Amino acid sequence: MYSPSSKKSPDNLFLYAFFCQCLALLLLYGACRPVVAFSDDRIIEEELLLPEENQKTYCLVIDPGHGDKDNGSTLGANLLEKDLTLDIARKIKKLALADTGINVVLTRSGDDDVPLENRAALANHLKADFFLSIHFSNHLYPAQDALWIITAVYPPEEVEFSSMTNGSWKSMQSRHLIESREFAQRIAKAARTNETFQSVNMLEAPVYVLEGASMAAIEVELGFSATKEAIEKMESDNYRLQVAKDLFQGILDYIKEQEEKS
Amino acid sequence: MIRRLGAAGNHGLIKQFLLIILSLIIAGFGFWLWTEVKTPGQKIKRNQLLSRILQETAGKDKEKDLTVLQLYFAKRTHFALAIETREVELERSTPVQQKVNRTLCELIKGPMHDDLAPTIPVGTKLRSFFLDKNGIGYADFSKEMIKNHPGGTWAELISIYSIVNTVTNNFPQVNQVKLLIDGLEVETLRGHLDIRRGFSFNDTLTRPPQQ
Repeated sequence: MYSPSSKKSPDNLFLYAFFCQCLALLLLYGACRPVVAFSDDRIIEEELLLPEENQKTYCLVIDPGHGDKDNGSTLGANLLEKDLTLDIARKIKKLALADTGINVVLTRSGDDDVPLENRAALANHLKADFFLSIHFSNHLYPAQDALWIITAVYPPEEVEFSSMTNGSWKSMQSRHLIESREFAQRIAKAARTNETFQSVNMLEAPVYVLEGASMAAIEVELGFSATKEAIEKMESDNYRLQVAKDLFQGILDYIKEQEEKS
Repeated sequence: MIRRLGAAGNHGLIKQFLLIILSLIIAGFGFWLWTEVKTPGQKIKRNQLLSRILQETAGKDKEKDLTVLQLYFAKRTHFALAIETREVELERSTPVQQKVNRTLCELIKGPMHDDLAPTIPVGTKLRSFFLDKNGIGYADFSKEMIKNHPGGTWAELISIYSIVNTVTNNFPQVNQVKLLIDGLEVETLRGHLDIRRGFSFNDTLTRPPQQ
């Protein structure tokens, strides 16, 4: 009776060893787990504590239009839209450095080629509070200077559809249209006070770069006629600084309004 | 003999019966005509209808008709679109697709009035226009539409809506217009407006923008 079982013993030993190994691994995993959980919790706690200690920080993503091979509009002999937009964005970022409550991130820091959908995607990934896209254009008809403040617009059926379902990437902005319009109105009000622009116009248009943004998002377009005075104005660093100041003031006003509301 | 006479008698009866029915039909028709004369308003309508049907069937292919088109161009003095009316000769029987084709060619030519400006870039050609069963029109333009476009949100907006409003306003059977470049769907003209979706008629652009 013994002999058959003793024959099987090497197999049993192997099984026993395997079982022990599994048990050891399980124990090791169990021992490690609380440590990982503890370190995770501590990081989250630290993150949560930061804003409570200081004031609430806002994240503003500025998108300087065009870049790299895409020059945008040619406004003067050596005046390209892509350079002007980057300059205004950098100026706003500099202004925001003095204000610790606003963290400004640019969609491109240099003369880079950034696809349109990646621009709003960056703002979404950073969970930004506002998205501001800057553009310049050459007004042929009519030859007037104007600042356009543009919010996205959707066909009614698309808004309805996206509110019922998860919606597609390009209908993301349809849920934030009210905030975006309020944001646009604040910017327009600030832009009118210093009379930096001949006229300030509001517009609703299906702007590609805004469609994927899941926050208050607007596009500002500085339209200029190709006249000598207009080109001189745009070439002046002081004028561009004034434009940046006006836009930044609009952002500050909007934040203030939101804080008063909540 | 009896059978023959019988047969002849039967024939006579049938003839008489048919004559009575025929006279009844004629009398009925006469009465109907008489009531028609009594109500002249209806008769005139009938005549108009008849003449229209006759016109359409007789000279269907040869007859040319002056069609008044409403073309949308940019204003030189304001940020808005404005209508220019233009008379063109179009055969009645021409299919809608060809009529739209002709209309868009007129739009590409540019405005006649001095206070209006063109909305389609120089050198752009219309490759084709196709209308599907759902009333969505596909306007396929050559690559100059992008190449020679000045760019900018406002400039792109007036280019798109001058096309969309012209087509949808003149041809109610077209609900939406979708732009194609060289036969393909493109994301934007010059990096501003999303033209992947179809556009419907938009009257707000004929008014100056909100200040």
